[in-house]
Amino acid sequence: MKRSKLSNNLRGGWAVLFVVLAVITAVIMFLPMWNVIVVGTSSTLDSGSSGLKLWWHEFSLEGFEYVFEVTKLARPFLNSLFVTTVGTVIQVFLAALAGYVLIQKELPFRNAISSFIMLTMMIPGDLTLISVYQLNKQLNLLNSYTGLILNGLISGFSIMMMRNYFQTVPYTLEEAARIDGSGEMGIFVKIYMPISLPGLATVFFMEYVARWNSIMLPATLVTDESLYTLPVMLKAMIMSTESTSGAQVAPNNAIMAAIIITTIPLLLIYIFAQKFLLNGISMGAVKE
Amino acid sequence: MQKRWLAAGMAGVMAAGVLAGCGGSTSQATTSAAGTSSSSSTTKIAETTKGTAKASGSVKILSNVTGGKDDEEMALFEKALSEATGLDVTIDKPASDYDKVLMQKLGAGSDYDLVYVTASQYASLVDQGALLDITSYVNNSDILTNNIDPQEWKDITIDGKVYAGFNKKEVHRAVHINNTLLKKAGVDYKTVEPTFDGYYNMLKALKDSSDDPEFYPLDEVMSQAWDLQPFFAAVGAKEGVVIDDNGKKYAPYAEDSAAPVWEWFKKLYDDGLLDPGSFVDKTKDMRAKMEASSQKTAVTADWAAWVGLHNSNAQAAGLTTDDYEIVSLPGLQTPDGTYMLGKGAASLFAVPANAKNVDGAIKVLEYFATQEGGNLLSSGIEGYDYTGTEGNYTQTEIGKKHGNDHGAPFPIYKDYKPLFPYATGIEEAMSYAKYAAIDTIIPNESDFKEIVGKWGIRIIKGEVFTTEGLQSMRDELVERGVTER
Amino acid sequence: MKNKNLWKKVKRFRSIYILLIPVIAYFVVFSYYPLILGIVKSFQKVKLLGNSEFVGIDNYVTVFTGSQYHQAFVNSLIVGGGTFIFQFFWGLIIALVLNEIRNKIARSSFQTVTFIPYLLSWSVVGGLWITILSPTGMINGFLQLFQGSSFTPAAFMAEEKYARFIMIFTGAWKGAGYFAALFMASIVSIDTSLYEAARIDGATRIQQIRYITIPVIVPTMKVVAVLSVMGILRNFDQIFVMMNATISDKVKNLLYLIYEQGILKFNVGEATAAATLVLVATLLITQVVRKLLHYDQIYE
Repeated sequence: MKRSKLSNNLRGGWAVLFVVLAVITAVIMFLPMWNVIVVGTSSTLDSGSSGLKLWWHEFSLEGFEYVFEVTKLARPFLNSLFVTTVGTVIQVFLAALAGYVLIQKELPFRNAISSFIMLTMMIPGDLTLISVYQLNKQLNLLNSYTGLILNGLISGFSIMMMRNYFQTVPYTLEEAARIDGSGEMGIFVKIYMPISLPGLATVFFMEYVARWNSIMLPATLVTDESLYTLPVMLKAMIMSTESTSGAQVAPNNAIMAAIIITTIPLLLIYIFAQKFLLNGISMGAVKE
Repeated sequence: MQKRWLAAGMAGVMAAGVLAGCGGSTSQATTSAAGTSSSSSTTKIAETTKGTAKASGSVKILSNVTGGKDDEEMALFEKALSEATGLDVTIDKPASDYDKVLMQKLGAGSDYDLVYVTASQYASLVDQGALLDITSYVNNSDILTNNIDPQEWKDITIDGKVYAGFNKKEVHRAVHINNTLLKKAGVDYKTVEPTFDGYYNMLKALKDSSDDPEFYPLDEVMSQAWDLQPFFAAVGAKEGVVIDDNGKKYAPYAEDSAAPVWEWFKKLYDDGLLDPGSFVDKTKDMRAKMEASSQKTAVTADWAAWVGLHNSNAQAAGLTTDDYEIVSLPGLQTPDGTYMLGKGAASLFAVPANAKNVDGAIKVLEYFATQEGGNLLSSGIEGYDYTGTEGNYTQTEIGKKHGNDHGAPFPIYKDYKPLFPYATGIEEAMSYAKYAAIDTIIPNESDFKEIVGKWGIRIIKGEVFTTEGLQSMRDELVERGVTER
Repeated sequence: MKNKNLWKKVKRFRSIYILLIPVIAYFVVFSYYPLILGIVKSFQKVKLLGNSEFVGIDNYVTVFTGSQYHQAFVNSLIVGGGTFIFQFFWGLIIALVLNEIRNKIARSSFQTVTFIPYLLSWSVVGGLWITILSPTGMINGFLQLFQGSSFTPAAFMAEEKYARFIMIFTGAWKGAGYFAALFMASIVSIDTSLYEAARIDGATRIQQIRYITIPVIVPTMKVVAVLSVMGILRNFDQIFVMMNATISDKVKNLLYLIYEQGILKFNVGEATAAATLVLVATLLITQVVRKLLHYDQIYE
């Protein structure tokens, strides 16, 4: 029933335009991943050839074999999982708290605080490259899980996004809860958290991706291989043999296989997160 | 609260400054000591021989490519190096972004005895006084002076002083030719005349014998001016920056006398012999086009070692030398009948100004310059990468994967005998080593490449007249402080 | 009098402020402390492992008088700003299209696919675009289909006239799905009964988008705008991977110059001075955008 109404409403030129836009976008967005998959599962010789490869000349798992032979991936994978999950959970929790604080209408210094937070997002990494390292050295955070979790533990981005999603919660709901005698914490947990679940999931996922893919910080903080994260390990594999006078480098199919290996966990998490992202929650359900 | 942190921050900076200051002044002291002692060389000898003899304790190394390929092998590598030198050697090898990590560690006053640097970084660090003058140590070490070609030392001497030892012997770049395609075109590479016309005819023959519209016989990484030396030899122009009779820096590629080479490239481009991809390709793309699986180009200029790599990659995939073979030539002949090839800028182990164990560092550098040290740096660890007895070694599976490279595929020891034979074609490519010379070490190498590449491409594409383009090239080189005239 | 009121208010919100303590403390230690150390360096002639001496504003003078920096600033603004605008609208369209797809599987796969470029690093997708735009690449292949035999392939990446557009397009391409996901998080919280009511009133789908969907995501659009504007001067990876000498005059940006100075040449003083100026410029731009969008007004 719904469907027929929809097609009645969205018809003619608009419908065509939407479909065309969707298809074109999907195709050009999908291209890179497809290319990565094809090269990653091509034979070593084929993967070295030039040009854009969108179909197999010869299917082969040599690339994956290379990766698993030259690197031990279990430990870095667990490191990544641990560091990223712990870091992101703490981060989203603290960001939610801070975001909630920032929507208090009459809070004194509210704008000053948000400026204070936003400034941290504007600092170019090159400005603090040396001093961040110095700080970690002073605090004894080099070569430690604590260092890997602590650096970048709180991000202005998550706070600002959480603040935004909380703002869309109708004030009437909060008022109703207040009349019912809910305390500050009660309102936060009972009203704001459930309604902002899509936002929460989005922020969680965005930060998860950022942390998972982050290479620069771990490369700086960690020289002990037992603490390598997955992307760092794979990057090291790709780079390790790259010397200036042209010694052997990892073959293309191995590089692409490494990319597939790092990306798959993220895709799985994304598909999981979509449960929250796409279904949405109707306000009515919360009201009742 | 914020104020207190600010104060703490300031205090931190001051402290760092003071600490760093100490390091700086001690290094200066050492420098001047070494400098003045040239008049009384006997004391210097006594001083350093004593030093080398008592080398002990621990040595910390920050390395980029040198060492084991993973934790397990790195531990064995450190053990082997420690046993051979009687020191306690530890190696830190950042996973990636080495340049950044190096900068951070030096910026925070890190405590290494040896750090891996490129020639360009070496020049910058010397400029800032961040490295220790080890000239006297080098002069007084029999191993360092006798086992290494004196020219190598000359290449890294800045204002009469040396601040580093060698990681490996740098090889040169030569002209690579796909011999299989060339044979198909009916040309014997040995008979190609080393002149503009000779090479033009060879490229033309290659193009004419191919049905592939995407095939271009010559591919170069023009945008980085990499590597044009074998062709600029025709006018005797050396790559990079050269110092003229008046002590002024200039770039021979940008001189009007280099115009014939640029115009020759232009002609190749106009006639469809130079790949238009040359303007955007990186070395990786150039190599991909040369690989057996693509063969989209037949002539490139690349490291001598890549002749062997192309060949062994193809052989690993089951091809024979009849199916695919890369050979090499030394390029065009200079006006005085010889050749000019570009050699890799040195990769070095420098001694930081605040190194704690200079004697230990020297000891490690000495070991790197011996046959045994060379074995470790190239073939790896005995019992892990290879097994057997002397003269009868076989590589393990791991050793084969590591391809005789643990930091130095070609060790610095001048009489080094490789444990395992080189791949097909390398011997020939290496035989051109006698024509190779190193570029003058300049801190702004990246500016040079960018400017020369940019204007060179404009000339080749015909967007500017050759003389105009060269004038602009020279102007911009001067403006960016690369050259002085 | 006014002060007293303020104090009272602060007291009333005491418990709320406590919630902020971890966040503030973290930023002081991990952001502001290194920031101050960095800024101090910008007033020094920094010598690694040596005596860094204070040189006043020398480094800033070098940056201000360097024509390279002027050009890089212009490039940063054009490419960064262009990318942001393009990406913003592309992301919006993706989100709106997504919202129209009723089939669950189609919807989920479309969102996943549009998000993929964001997951991959520039070193992967940058190289890919270089290949697509190369003389033997896909774009030239298409053009040849239309133009036939008289066609000569173009090296798009070596043409100054296309350089900025290519950077803007590929930049937007990589981030559009990311923006779309941020917008979607707001769209899905729209009460479905609103659409129901609008349909009963005879509103067309386009009218529903115009009057229901868009107003709901306006606040998110503002946040995304403000947060992304902070990044327009900070685009490094893309330029690092995709730039070549021919187009460097058009696309080499501030962060690339800073990288060359600070990392490649160890010229830390000048690099931090330039980075400080990037921070100041970002601050100004953000401030302007914040005012323009009335960002700090809540519950409007």
